[in-house]
Amino acid sequence: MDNKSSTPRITCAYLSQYVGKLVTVVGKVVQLRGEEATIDADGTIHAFLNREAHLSANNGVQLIGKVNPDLSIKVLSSVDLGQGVDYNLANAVVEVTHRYKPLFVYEN
Amino acid sequence: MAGQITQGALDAMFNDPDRAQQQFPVPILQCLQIKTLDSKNGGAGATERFRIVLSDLKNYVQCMMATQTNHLVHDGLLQRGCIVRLKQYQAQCLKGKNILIVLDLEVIQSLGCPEKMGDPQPLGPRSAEPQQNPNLGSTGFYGVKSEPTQDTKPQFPRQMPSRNASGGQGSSTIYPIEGLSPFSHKWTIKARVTSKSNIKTWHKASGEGKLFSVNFLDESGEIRATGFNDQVDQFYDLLQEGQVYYISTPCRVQLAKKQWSNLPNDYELTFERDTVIEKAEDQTSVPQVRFNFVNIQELQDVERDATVDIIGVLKEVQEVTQIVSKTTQKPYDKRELTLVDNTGYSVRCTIWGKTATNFDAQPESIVAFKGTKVSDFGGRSLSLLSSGTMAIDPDIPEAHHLKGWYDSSGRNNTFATHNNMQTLGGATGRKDDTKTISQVKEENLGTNDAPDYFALKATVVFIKQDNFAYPGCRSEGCNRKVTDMGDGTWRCEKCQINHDRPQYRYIMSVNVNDHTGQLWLSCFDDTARVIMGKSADELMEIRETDETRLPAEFEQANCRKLNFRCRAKMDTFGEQQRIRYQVMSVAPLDYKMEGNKLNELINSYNQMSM
Repeated sequence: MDNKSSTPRITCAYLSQYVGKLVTVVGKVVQLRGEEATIDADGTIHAFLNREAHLSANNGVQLIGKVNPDLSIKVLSSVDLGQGVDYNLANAVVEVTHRYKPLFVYEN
Repeated sequence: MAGQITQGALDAMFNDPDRAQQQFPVPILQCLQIKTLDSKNGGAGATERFRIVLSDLKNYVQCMMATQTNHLVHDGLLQRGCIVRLKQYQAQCLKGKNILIVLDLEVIQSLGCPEKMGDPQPLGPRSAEPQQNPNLGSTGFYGVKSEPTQDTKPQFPRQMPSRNASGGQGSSTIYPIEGLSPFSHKWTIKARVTSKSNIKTWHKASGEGKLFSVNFLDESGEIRATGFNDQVDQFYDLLQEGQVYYISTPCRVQLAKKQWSNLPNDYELTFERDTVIEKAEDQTSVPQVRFNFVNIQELQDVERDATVDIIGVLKEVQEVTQIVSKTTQKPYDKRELTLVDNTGYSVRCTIWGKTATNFDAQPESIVAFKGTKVSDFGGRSLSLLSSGTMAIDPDIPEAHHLKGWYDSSGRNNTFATHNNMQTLGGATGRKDDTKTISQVKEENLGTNDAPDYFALKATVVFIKQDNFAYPGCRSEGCNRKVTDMGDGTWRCEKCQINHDRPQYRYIMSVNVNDHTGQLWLSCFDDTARVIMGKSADELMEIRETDETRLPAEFEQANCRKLNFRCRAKMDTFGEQQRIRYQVMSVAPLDYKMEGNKLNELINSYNQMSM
């Protein structure tokens, strides 16, 4: 099965462009409420977590998930990044990703 | 979005500045047009000036951008249609037309660049509109050709290169220093002498002479002025540091020789025989010092040899030391200080001469420096220029801000330094350029007489497993190869000692790759230890005890991406000449720093392709 897919890195501003698609988000955990989390990735994103997610408030997190029509994210995988995340650098990567889209995103 | 624009601001700014201050302290306007002005009479160093049209939906007005705002256009931030915040301006009426001089402007990027909003009308000169405003008198603006009528506040009319008109200015009107240019024929400035140099004399084949120079400061900016020969006699004693003077034409305005000045002005003044300098009765209306601070974190973006002003909390003060200059054999007093600020970074600053010997500020006081040179020694460090000045606990807002920050949180902070900017702490001061492997080969590094040093970011791909270490002498400082005597002892010929065990030292060949090629590097004991994660002795022991584990050890060390600092040298092996690459030091990657470096590289690609 030739399954070409990509999970481009995005921040809050790009959510609307990827509705229904798989994306990667690096951000800071602002709030945790049961299965729901609020993430700050250059803007606020609501994430619906899965069973394996063990996040801590104020830590960085990398989420991979699908963008819902209401611009929240259904999280499929999460990685706790701890403290000391350089969010400026992470956002810079997102900017570069979109500047050179063909390198990073499969359009189908 | 139209709601964001401060409608009616322009009218107020020109016709009722008091109301403008109260109602529209920071006007928000739309930029309708941007034009570059070619200064045809400019000659060699014509300054680029931009003319823009700003609208508040009700009116529009022509504006001149002060050169310090030019970067907004250069960076592409200011474009047609975008919404801007006018932070500092001067509203004037020249030749019957209202002109706005933009001294500080901020683009509100989040609002984008919409189409022209509203239907703004030109903001006609005051005389065309009926004034309901009683404050008329004190805020009136007078045209260029005018009436020498004095008003209570000094005027700041500005000559613009393209409108190089009649040039006639009443000598009672005062120019801002920022407005001085070779095109202004008649002007008076009111400024304070911030520094005065000693009289310098020179003797050359072409003649001899003397000169002195001063720096003048007013609210708009600073400019350097020099007096030669006769003017030294005329003005040297008259001009005192810290005093305010009126300086009037004739006085030459020329392009500045930047190597002699630490001021950002494009121009400088030269006194002439008829230049008029008078002491001002009012000594207070001119600022004392003007700083353009860079915070310590931003220093890493400043080029070496640039001149900056800096303010910080004094964290450490060293003792005064004396060094003798190798070139002139003269002794110099120096003292090193460490400054920190609220960006979380620290930097060393060196002061010289009297400033160093007489330095008595206590740690934790706020020190501001004007005119420090940036060097890349140890990443980034500062040196106070002889033309620079230092102020301890100055009464300026930045100082209070820093004091507040330090008292509340800064005191206990640990501070980052820029030391990791040079790829591997080159305290030797050698410039390590980071190269790719293809660059190392193409540039034939190592073929010159002197060895070439470079930095490399690469991945270990293969480690040669045979002969990775040799038995070395155990004596302190001696690394000579010892010979196995056969009776269990190892003899070092240099030290004449027999050891019962050798100290194995690495002599390892590693093959590293990056995206451009591969290179064989040789590592000695200390660097190989970092790569393997074990000492050579330990590794040898594993080889003795359980040989099967050995490949696993090498496997583990393999495929690691590291920062190497290398030396390339030509070596002769019998008849063959080969370039040998030796690793001087190796360090793991600081991902954040490397990430930021890559980001900058990508950004520079963007700029090049534009």
